[in-house]
Amino acid sequence: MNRNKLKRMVNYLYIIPVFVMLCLFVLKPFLFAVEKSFFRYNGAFVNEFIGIDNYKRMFTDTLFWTSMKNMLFFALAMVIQFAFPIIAAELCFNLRTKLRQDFFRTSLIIPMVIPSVIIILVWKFLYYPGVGVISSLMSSLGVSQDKIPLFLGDTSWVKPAIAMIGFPWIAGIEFLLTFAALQGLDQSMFEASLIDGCPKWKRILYIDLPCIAPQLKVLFVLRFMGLVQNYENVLILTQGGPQNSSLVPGLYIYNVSFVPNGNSESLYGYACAMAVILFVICFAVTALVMREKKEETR
Amino acid sequence: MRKNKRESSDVISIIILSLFLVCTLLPLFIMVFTSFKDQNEILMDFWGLPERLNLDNYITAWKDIGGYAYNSFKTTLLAVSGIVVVSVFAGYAFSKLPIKGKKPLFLVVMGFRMVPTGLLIIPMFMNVLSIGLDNNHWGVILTNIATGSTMAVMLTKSFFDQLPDSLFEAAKIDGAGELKTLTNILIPLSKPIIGTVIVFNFFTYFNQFMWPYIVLSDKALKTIPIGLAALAGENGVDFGLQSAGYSIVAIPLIILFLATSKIYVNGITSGAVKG
Repeated sequence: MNRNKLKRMVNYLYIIPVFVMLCLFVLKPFLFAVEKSFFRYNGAFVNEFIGIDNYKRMFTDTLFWTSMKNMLFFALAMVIQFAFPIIAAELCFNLRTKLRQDFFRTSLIIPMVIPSVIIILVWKFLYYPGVGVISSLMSSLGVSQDKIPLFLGDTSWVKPAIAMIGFPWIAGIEFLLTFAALQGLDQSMFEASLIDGCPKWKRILYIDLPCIAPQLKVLFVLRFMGLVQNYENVLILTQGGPQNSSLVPGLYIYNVSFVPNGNSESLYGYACAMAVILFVICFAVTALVMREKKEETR
Repeated sequence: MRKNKRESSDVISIIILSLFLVCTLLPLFIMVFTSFKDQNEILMDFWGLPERLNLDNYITAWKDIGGYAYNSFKTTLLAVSGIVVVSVFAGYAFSKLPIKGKKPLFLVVMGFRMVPTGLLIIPMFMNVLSIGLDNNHWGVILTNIATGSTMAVMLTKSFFDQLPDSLFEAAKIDGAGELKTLTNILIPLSKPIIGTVIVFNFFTYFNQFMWPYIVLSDKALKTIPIGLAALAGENGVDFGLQSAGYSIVAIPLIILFLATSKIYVNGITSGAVKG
């Protein structure tokens, strides 16, 4: 009896490491951020409870709203981008030999395995005014020098220019996992549709996509979360400029906590409050997308 | 007739996919192409072929970023080893061992995947600061083990789910203890999934930018992606030199990927079907 109990306790040893790591390095900072969002805190000696003042501050902070609007732009762009890996996965899945499938499945994701910094910096070079690839291409096509936009240096061009990076946006986990989802479907459905003389595009629209919808929703949520938390592209390319026209919330949080803006006060607590609001947005989007999923399966 | 029709639809798919492929790889070709040119060639005649196979850029770039290689390999390999150990044990236990409340516990681990850690980067930095691991490779490594283990546990658990329970029960009936089951059955059987976890996380953490950028402040400790960003920052319009720096890093990684692509692609696609 005692020995059995001991044995059962031993089983927990297998899963303890993962929980210890997650608690120490993810949960603890998460709770810390939630706590400090209610404090005036500069990371050191200024540490004073101020209730929800940090949250109130967001409503009147025009920079915060600018960054949210910019994020909305990138989120809308993401919806368009999201279609490409799915289209590519469908096309690739429908290829008739395994060799062809493997070729495209491997080569299309090559940018995934090199540092994203490289992709970002190469695109910076493509966009570079005057000597960059795109502007020299445009001028050799006869576009006059003063009509070529500055791309990353132009308030109206900077967001589309950043969203274009990585075109056609296939190299990512979405492509692989959509392909996997298609592979996981009951293959006899495809044969049945073939015998019934159903055209391929109809099959894709009415069989494939509805069947993999649950997986697509998960991928959509993950991609949206990736969008909210990723700001290294903006940090490297424009630091949010020109005139904050590419500032995103993640970068703004980074800025106010590391770079005290002008005055000596680091707004660390305020940064935490903004992070908490973005968590809430992420969870809300997740809940929204997942709830629809339940209704559909009913 | 029908066969021809199907073949023709394949041709259309191949054309579209090839267009995608060209767009995907074009920036990388431009990068390699530019890396052989000196400043004048780039400014005067960007589209012309390089005059000769000029390796000057590579020599200069290597001097600049070669020193970061050790840091990158150290932080990546240690993080990957940690992830493998943590996730193989946890995945096995979640799949095969009788543990009270293991379903909710597994969901808790999966729940951590939903935490947008990118926004937590400053609190996470304060966290490693508070235990004295700022500006220290271990600050990078330990946090990466934690954040990387969630996806890895998902992969290992669904891998072990596909193995029959009887395999492990038989070993126990034969009198093999926990440890023996582990070394003689679990580890050999999980080789494919260990391979996937290694390869996938190697690329993820070797290429990571933000987290080591924030934790490591000494130049002597920084990793390759940070070195590349610095190279670009310090050499304004010397695109030849910058491209050489990117190529030195990208080309070996691409070769490594092509060599391991089966493990990478198959592992991710088979393990994640249910996720």
